[in-house]
Amino acid sequence: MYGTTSISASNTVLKSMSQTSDLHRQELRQSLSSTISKIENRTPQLSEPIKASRASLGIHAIDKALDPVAAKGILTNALHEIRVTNGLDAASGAGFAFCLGLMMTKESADPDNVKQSELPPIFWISDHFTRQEYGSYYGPGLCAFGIAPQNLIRISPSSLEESLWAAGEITATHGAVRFCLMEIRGHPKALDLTVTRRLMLRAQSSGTTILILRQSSEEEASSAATRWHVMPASSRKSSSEASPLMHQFIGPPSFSVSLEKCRGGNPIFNPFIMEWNSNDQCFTLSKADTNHRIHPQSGFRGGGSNRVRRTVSKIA
Amino acid sequence: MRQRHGAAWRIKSTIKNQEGELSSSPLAIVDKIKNAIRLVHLDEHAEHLGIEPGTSLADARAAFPDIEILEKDEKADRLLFDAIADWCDRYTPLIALDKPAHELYGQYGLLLDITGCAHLFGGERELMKDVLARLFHQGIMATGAIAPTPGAAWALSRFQKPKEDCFDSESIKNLSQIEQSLTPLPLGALRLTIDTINAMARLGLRTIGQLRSQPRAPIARRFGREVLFRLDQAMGSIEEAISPRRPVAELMAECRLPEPIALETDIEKTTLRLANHLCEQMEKKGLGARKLVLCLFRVDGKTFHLEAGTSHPERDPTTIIRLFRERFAALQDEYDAGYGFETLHLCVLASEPIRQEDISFMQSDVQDGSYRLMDRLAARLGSHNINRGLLQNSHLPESAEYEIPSDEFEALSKALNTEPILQKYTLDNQSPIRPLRIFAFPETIEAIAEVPDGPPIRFRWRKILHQVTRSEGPERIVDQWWGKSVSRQTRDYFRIEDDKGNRYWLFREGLYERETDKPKWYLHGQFA
Repeated sequence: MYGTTSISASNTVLKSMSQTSDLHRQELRQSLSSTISKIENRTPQLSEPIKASRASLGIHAIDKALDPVAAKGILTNALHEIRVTNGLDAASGAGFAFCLGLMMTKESADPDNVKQSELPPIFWISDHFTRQEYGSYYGPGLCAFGIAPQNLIRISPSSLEESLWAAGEITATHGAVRFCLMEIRGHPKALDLTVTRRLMLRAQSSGTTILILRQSSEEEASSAATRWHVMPASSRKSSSEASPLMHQFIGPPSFSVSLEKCRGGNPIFNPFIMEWNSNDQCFTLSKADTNHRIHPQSGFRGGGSNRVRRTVSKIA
Repeated sequence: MRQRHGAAWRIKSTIKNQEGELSSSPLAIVDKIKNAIRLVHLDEHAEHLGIEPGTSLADARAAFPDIEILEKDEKADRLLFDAIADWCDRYTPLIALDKPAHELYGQYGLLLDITGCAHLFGGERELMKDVLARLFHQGIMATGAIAPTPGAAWALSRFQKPKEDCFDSESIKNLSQIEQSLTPLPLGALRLTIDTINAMARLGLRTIGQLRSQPRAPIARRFGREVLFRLDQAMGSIEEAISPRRPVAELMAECRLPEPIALETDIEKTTLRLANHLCEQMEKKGLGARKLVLCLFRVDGKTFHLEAGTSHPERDPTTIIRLFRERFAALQDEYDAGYGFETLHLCVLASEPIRQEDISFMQSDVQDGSYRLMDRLAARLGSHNINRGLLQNSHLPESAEYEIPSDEFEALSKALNTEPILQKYTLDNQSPIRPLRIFAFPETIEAIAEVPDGPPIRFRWRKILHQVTRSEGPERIVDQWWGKSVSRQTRDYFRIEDDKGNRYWLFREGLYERETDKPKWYLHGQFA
């Protein structure tokens, strides 16, 4: 009771002071809130500006597209979306999501000093149907990506509401989680702008990375910081033409990726091929693309059909 | 039965009409015993008419053509009985089931160990009155007795003469009184088999008093040791333990409310009070709870048991409340407050000592946060829905990894020592390449290979045709020859890349011409 009255009093003070300058107002607000906290006998909670932490993806052109100012790469305390159109590409999408997650949390997890099994866990949320449809994650396969199977905690809720609740709970714990990967199939109604915005804010305040992997999904408005469209890419042709046998071999995991949406940066609509080097845990750009150059489309934001996009990329 | 006749089913049968006759027809429950349909249970009206349980249905119908018949429903009986037993938890945590020994003469019974509980209800006699009166108003006619031994209580509750106040009953204080009250009772009160009772009746032994006056040795020789054993149990010269149906709580806090509560917030507040009380007790003993159960007793007799586990000894009331809040959220439809709850129990089922280092100042918040996160997730989603992968030392793809519940993981991985297996997969580059996603059951595909033993050139999976561009293999996986398991056919695994760039893990089951004429193809997983 006491607390509420003092807050409303401070609001009126703020309103009356609306003419004063912004800087002055912020100072006033801080001093008022600290007074209120003193009265209520609790530690003052000042709304600090959230620091944006970024992680490099190891490829300068992409880092530049994601962060045009400093080329520092992708936001780590944020919600990111990875989209796969075709049901057959489920494993590619999952692979890319893991790679992206690993790149983003690389700095916190120094591979030389820490044992794999002692790192904070990765959470994977997906319902039973998604698992049956696209298959479950396989421990020995995860090892190849540098993830100890015991470090991947597999959560299978029975509804989307429960998955969202679980994701919220996971992000609420500070630093106990490496990243959270949420797998969603199709276009559920419950996953709207509000819900994704809430997850985004949670990720921002707690510093946890949330990746939403959307299987069999078309473009849809969301509050995610970035949206990647992933397709599988064929193994690169061996450079040594001398041995025809080498053509038969399957290369490292490779993805044909386009950055469809990038808040605060420039999207790249023209698909480029990224390969995952599991030994060094980093992405490499295929040779063709390094020559071809990646072109971020500045000034062009989202929307529009594929055809429009293709023409744009040709011009670029 | 209650469903058909409503709450008044047992009263209805005793309502008399103007001529002083019972208005409704007699009711009997029938069951098939030794290939004959016999009456097993009767209502008061039928009893009044002199029908006896055990009569065959044809005989009963001949004598009383208007008799109403219902078939015995064992499952429903059992459910009702369990519900009553749950309801009785309010009196004591130690309740044992007493199943009928014989389908004809047996009745369900409950044995309540009320040692140290009676004073909470105003004495033994008051407790018994409370039990019987409440049960009666729920439509269940029960008889009861209190005695120092389970055997004597069993005998008295079934065979003593009813008193004027039908809720009042005998209460025996000490062992010497047992003999006095049991002497006039028939031998059936000793929990003996029907055959033994009949055999003794042929010798003129009908009451417990008569049996006790006989020398013991000939009785034992003639009827077996069972008779004397049961007699001694009833008299208290042999100790008899009852086996409680639920695990006995280490600590328990109870709250009985004058007015029932139905709102979730009210329940939460009351639970918090109980939790505070429990946590104080645990602090004194240096313990932390690992498993808790909250029992809610609804006014109309239904009980809810909500269990919550913690991965770490816990004695913070607010954390405990948060766990139960998740349990409530998970219940949703099953949970129905109805007219409200009148009694709440919070019990600690399992506890562990909290070591000093657990509560030191150096405690890492991160570690603590992850423990509590796992507890909350398990409380809401069920611990079987939160899994981790445990690697196994097996070359068979299906048994290379098991998914086990996260809360059992630490103990299991320590016991099985999985670290070297993990090392093998992560460090050793020689280990075979395995897919990222795997299907629990390999899916059948149609595949065409150039040569019988070679890789496929195209295959159809989920109705889509895939053109193979690259392939690696075969990797031949044979069943464990040293195991006793059913030997399955040899599998040749191939890594395949199709023209779209998707990578699959296929296998052909059976060696061509050696094991089968028509090998089948399956798709087992997908690579990234």
